[in-house]
Amino acid sequence: MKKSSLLTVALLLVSLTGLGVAALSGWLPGASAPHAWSDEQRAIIASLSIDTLPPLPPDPSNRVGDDSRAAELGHALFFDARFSGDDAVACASCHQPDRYFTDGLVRADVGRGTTKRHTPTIVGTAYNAWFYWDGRRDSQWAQALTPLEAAVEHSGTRAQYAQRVAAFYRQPYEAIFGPLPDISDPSAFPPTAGPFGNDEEQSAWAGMSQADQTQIDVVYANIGKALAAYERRILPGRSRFDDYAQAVAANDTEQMNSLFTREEATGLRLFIGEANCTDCHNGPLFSNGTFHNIGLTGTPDEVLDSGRIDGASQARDDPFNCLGDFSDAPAPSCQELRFIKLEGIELRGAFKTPSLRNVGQTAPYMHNGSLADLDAVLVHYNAAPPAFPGHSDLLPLDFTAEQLGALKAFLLTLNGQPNVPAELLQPPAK
Amino acid sequence: MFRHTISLFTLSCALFFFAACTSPTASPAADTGMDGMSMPGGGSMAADALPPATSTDGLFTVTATSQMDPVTINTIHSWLLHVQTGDGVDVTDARIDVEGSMPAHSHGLPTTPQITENRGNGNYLLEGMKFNMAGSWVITATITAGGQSDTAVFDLQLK
Ligand code: HEC
Ligand code: HEC
Ligand SMILES: [Cu+2]
Repeated sequence: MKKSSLLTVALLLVSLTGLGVAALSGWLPGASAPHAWSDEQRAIIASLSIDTLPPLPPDPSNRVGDDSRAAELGHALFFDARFSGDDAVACASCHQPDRYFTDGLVRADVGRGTTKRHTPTIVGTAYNAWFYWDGRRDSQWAQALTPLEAAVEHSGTRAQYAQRVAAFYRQPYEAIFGPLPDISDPSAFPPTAGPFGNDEEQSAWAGMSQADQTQIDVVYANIGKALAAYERRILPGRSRFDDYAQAVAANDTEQMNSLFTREEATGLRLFIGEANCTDCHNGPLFSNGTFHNIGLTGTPDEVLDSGRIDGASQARDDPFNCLGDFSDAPAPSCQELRFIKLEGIELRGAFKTPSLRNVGQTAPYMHNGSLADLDAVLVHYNAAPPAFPGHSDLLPLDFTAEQLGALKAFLLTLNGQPNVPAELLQPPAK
Repeated sequence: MFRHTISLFTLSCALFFFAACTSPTASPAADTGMDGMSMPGGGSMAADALPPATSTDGLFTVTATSQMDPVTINTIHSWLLHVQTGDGVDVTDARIDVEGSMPAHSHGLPTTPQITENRGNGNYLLEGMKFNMAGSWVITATITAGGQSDTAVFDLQLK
């Protein structure tokens, strides 16, 4: 009896001492030790670090993708408003370099009506297999062609753009792609013509011979390939999280402590654990690059958006895709397109998982821009409302406000400027 | 008493400060595959991790080996399938339909993999495999040969 009570007292005393020591060194017992990670957690954290991002693989469909002259031309085109119907819009009008290549709007508006969806960043998208929220294009260059002819974006035509290449960029174009076709005869090559223009432009396009159309299409595709070569240089940069991941890999508690607050570490623990965020936001880009329905019902004025189920067949049918006539890829290498998933309830209302790098600086969020800030995003994940159309891939988190706060604190540690030479963030010096 | 305290300290450590008291040994942030090869975390598996699967009615035995080693999420890749009858004879004229899903989630593979080459001797090239999440996956291979069909099921863990 006496012996056992002594034992209890001793145990208590020692425990308290231990507690003091633990608190002093930044450790607390059990789950609340903010920087104590299991081997499994350490492996997941390492897999999210930018240090595991492989060098950008070549794009076989774009033979000039890694040609610095093409990147230079693409750089100029990206900022050149002459590549629009009315000399007023460039890619950079919406993908603004000082906003991490986004525009801060719910849906883009360059004065010709709003786009159907919210402007995503282009940073790091060169790693993707699919482009746009619904993945309706299968390469960076095929994507780049689309806004050039969209009525609410650049609103010009491919024939017009070929003329402008001839007028303003003949020398650099020919150095990269070889001689431009002779498109100077206006009776064969109308100054503006294209399959998505206004009625006049469409009939001008229909009036052209197929051979002449193809000549224009080649120049048009090459414009996309140059733009892609530039975009391939726009890569994500290091964040505080990546430094923390390095400290975790080295098991350097002191360093972890100096890099992350207890709340941020708790947020990371939830992100890779209970909250299941890494089901979809995984790998060094925090995206699996595939399509999920997370139950974002649009505003009443929005047209029902079926997302990937439509995007998949559009990618398959795009004449500028990997298997098309303008692609440089040998057909067998077009793996993603050859084995594209075209059917399945899970594609309905599904959108591409966006990267979360620098996400704290790119509000508003989601394909329809419907969530104004990170708090709104987390409220959404907490409730996980049912989807329409399709069904949601989410389960409600039912987290406390404190847990949601921790997730938000963690998301903000992903802020980091793009890893891009400064001169590529502004129009080229003339 | 002093000795007693030390052992008690150890005990109370074990009870209350498990994480704090274990000395932080530098274990690599990676899992070790069956062959001792270092595996990346966040969703991977050794290429030859799967034991051969016998189809439901015992008609076929299927061996599935990834051509990408290790299998990692988010990368499209190919597998090699080897099909034998229940009693070990190579099946050289099989039609094989492959599907995959995550039982815990209501979704399938993000791609539609297909057999693109019969390489003879019961070997088939399966292209277009891709996983987009860590966790448990089920891959089914429905084999049709000699007028009979049977399905082999593989359970995968991508860690
Ligand atoms: C009017 C604003 C606007 C202009 C101009 C514009 N974009 Fe976009 N961009 C968007 C919107 C909106 C989306 C998403 C549309 C969708 O998913 O349906 C998008 C999507 C993209 C994507 C896909 C990103 C991803 O994650 O898949 C890339 C890449 C891109 N644009 C590059 C460009 C390039 C290159 C140009 C110039 C040729 C350009 N954009 C011009 C608004 C614009
Ligand atoms: C089932 C897959 C899935 C899971 C799990 C998931 N996300 Fe997402 N996330 C997505 C998809 C898909 C989108 C885009 C949805 C859309 O626009 O319709 C998205 C969008 C986001 C965005 C907006 C990014 C932007 O640029 O618009 C944030 C922030 C985000 N998720 C954070 C999280 C967090 C935090 C968790 C865990 C609580 C999480 N996600 C879990 C798939 C997922
Ligand atoms: Cu899943």
